[in-house]
Amino acid sequence: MTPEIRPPDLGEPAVRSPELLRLVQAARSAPAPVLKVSSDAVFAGFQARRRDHRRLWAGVGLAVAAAVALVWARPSFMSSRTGPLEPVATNSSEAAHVAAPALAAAVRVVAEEGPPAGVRDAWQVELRDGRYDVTVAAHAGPELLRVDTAGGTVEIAQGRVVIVVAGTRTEAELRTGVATWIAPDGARTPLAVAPAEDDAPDPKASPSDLARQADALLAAGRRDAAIRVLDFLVTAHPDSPPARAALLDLARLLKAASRTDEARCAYALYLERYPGKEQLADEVEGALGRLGPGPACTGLRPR
Amino acid sequence: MTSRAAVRDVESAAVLAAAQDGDRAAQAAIFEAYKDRVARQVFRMTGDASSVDDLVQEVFISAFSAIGRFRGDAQLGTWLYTIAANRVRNWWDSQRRRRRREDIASASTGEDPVATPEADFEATQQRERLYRALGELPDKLRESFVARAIEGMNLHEASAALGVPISTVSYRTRRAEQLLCAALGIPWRDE
Repeated sequence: MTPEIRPPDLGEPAVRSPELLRLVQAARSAPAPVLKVSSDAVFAGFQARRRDHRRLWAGVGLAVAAAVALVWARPSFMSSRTGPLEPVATNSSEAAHVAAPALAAAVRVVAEEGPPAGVRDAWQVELRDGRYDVTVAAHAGPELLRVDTAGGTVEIAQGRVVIVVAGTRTEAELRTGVATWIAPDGARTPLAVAPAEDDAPDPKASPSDLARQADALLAAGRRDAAIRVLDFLVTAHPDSPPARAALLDLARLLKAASRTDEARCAYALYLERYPGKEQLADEVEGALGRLGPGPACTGLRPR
Repeated sequence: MTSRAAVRDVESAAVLAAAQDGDRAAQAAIFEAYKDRVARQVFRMTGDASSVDDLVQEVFISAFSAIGRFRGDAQLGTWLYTIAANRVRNWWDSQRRRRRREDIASASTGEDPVATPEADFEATQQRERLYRALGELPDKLRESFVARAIEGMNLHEASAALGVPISTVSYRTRRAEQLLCAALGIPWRDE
């Protein structure tokens, strides 16, 4: 739509539709929540962030110093194999690779064997012979990643696909998520999720990565695997920002999976951890009440 | 509640410089002067009372970490408004991901596992409808609409808070209204 040229009337109403205005008034009339966070908590968070920044800069400084020292010292293995005139960065194809467009932030392509992927645009790559691990994280837009190979195209909505290319033969193994194989004649075949050994949460993954992994597993219809990841998230990172939403999701998924006793424990754990969030706590108490009484949570997850 | 005297005090160069150096008392003074305003803004932008504490904390931590870049061209309140709007954008991103998860989970049970108390049911439903539709809008349209319609700012105030011309605020608000009406199945006509 093209913006109108006419100057705005300074007294124009913000909302013209009476029906929409009713919804807006409901939003306006909602009482503002009582703020519980204190200046002490903010100060503690500020100090922690400042510490992290200092560590980061110290790390960068050390890395730069090490790089300078390395260049200055020019160890024999470098000087004997590379010289200033060797065509390391002057090769035209490599120069073109450097200037290639960047992939979208949600996309990661790792060449486990073979040459790097050729990036055509933010949502399109080309693979040559080799083995590639391609991940498309959950993202807000409708974009699909197109992975072109000599034998056909893999289109990935979200998830992780391991692709092996050998000449005109391409094998695509969907580990999580949703993807489609497009043959050279245009025939489309949805890929089925292959049984994978790597559903177990990565102990080194960040809480946000774990939340994304749970999203991807759930999108692939793998509720039990998503439950395992969320359980790990709320247990290993109880103080992280995603933990609260993850614990609530975990409770709902457990209930949906008819694992009622564990769902009850998850709701109870939520109330124990977040007693100050009155509004949601009321609703969680309601959900807990509807599950009815059950055994003690000893020996049950999450803990 | 934010008093004008308190705001004037915390906007003094001495307090800002002390806050920048990590002075606890200076940061506490700024926090106390602006916390309610930021909390109200965050609540009206998200419609989610349970996220307000976390977001307010994040806003002030971000602000104190970056306060060296605050040059006094705008008021401190306007600067905080911008930081809060950015944090809320990230919140909407994660919220969209989370809703996808919830939709799948509740589709498999055929019911909403967390019901709302009866007394507030209708108002809560209306708010949830509105905020669900707001969550689907582009960030800039949503921010204009929230500033004008829900926070009740006039065009001048919204223009200053969002850092865009009045005509842009006006256009974005109308465009947001049009998209909201379409999403909510409400007839819309441009007068």
